Amino acid sequence: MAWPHVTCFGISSALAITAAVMVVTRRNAVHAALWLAVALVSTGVLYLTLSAQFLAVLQVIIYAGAIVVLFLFVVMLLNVNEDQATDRRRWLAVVGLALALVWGAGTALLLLAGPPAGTGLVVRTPGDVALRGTAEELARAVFEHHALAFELVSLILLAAMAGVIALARRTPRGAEEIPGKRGSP
Amino acid sequence: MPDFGLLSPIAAMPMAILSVAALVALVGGTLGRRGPAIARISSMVGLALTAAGLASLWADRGSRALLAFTDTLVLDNFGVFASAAFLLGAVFAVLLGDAYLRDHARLAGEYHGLVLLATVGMIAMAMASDLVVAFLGLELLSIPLYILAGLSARDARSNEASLKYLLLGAFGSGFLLFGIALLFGATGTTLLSDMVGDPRLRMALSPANLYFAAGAAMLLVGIGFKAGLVPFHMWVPDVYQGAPTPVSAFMATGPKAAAFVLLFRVFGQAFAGAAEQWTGILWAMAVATMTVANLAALRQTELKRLLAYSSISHAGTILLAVLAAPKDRAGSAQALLFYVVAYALMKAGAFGVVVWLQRQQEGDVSIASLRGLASRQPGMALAMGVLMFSLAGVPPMAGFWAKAWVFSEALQAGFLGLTILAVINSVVAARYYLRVVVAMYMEEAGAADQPTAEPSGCPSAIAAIWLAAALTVLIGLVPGLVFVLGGQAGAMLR
Repeated sequence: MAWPHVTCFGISSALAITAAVMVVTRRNAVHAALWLAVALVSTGVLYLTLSAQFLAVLQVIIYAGAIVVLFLFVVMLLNVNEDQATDRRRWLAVVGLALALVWGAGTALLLLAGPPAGTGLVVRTPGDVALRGTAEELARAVFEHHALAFELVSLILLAAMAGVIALARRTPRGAEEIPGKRGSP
Repeated sequence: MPDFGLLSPIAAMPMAILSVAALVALVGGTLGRRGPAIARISSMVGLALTAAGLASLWADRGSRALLAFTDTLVLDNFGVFASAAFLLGAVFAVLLGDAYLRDHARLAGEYHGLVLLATVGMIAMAMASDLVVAFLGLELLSIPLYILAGLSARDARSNEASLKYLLLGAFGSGFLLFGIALLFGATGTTLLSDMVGDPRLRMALSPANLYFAAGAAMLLVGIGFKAGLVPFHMWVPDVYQGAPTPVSAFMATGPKAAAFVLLFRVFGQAFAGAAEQWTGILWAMAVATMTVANLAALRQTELKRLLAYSSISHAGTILLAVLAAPKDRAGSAQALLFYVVAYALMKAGAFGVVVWLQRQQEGDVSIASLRGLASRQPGMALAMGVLMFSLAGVPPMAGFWAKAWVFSEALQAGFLGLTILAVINSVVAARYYLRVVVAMYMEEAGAADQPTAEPSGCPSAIAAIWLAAALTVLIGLVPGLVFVLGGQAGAMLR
């Protein structure tokens, strides 16, 4: 592993762990959501060091972008204050800690002992060029082998959009609803 | 850039034309007063151009199937013929839709656009040589149908039909997708063209046989749901009855045919080498489908529900063609295609009569309300009578040849017991089709059965009914043309 990789990995993983701890310790829900965004972006950088470029971009766009913004919206809409946010915290902390320990022990075992024999699984390290998941690999799969499927998916999304609009437009505005009435053809 | 060559755009042309027509209809439908007319013209022009495109794709005798889009799409006469049958169903949906859109003009763009998009999905299913493309075609077919079933906002049962279809349909799609994943695990490919031949040959080399069986079974559940086979038929009566009638007509024709074409491509063609693994299951399903549907249909008093059970029963009969496929692929493909065309005509016409009757009376059309129709509306009673006789399989209608051909294929493949059961079922089915005819011609209308309104003119629906009845008789008298084209289509499935 070259030193830029190590540096990058070290910085982003330290940042991810710090941000994750901040997420669960902040009393203010908005602060926790913002720290979550930091944790997700630094996890995205970890994916980059593993040559999973497309996954990294998706991580930033979908998780750090859309989902955290959704969290923030909900927090602000519900106007959660600090007292409500800290309810049942001790109980949840114990469960969370137990889960983290189990997961950590499993990962450590996998890394130290290697994957079970006969499964064909291999542990890859950052910078491993044999890794798949680059944007180029994905583009090749989507636009070469699955070109037709890709176009069909776009039509499915179009049909779903048109359908939602049709369902919303069914009843003329201002018309009264008559539940249970049997209609004409 | 991958070199797709010229073949891929040519093979995708029918789907591309229909998609463009659907876009024009969706956008055009919003353009104020002229919107409905634009949507209607766009879908008719689109269907006509697609039909011309399909005709130009028809290959000469003796040519081989071509693979396009990195082997995920197959261009052969089987797919082209089936696509033409789907277009026929869409034409009837457009014609019958006029009667419905008269009261719901604001939904014209969506109605036409969604019907065309569903037809694109059917064509993708019929031409798929890849299970991923087949699955996406099935979804593109299903999503518009979920919406169309629930178009009548004020009708509680239309809403119920839409929700029921969506929930059960999503469940069926899940099975299909899981089955595809297991088959990929077993064979290492989703390409049907790679599975064609003898899957067991490669199966024998690996311990993956269980995955193959489980994957094929789940695939059967997913496709069987769309085709309305027992025991996956529960949704059919409720959805056909609750959906707006032109939509029921559409669902009973194209989508059902598409499910069977896919079933034939997967089981009759790709998995033909593993026939002994699935023949028993399909045999039992065919018997159960015919028997359960016919016994239930005998008890129906409502015309749409009766037609729904009749469509399940016909699905059981078409299954015979799939069962016969491993023995004689070309012949059974020919029988299947002929059946699908005849069935589409009969079902579209019969549902068309229901559309026409519903212009005169609110709500359900009971069989009792048909009493005396022959004296009130002799022309319409004649058309309905022809369609009912054809559905029952009485010569010289198209329905007779369809059944006869499928039965003879099943006999040649050695399914003697199954064919006898199917013939017995046809006799049972004749009982409820004839009940409709008896009500129209031999029973007097009571005071309660009088229509609440004068028959209102709906020229395109009446044209659709007469077109269906006339073609049913014409194909019955001169079955040769459809037989020959179907034979050329089947011959390419080697």
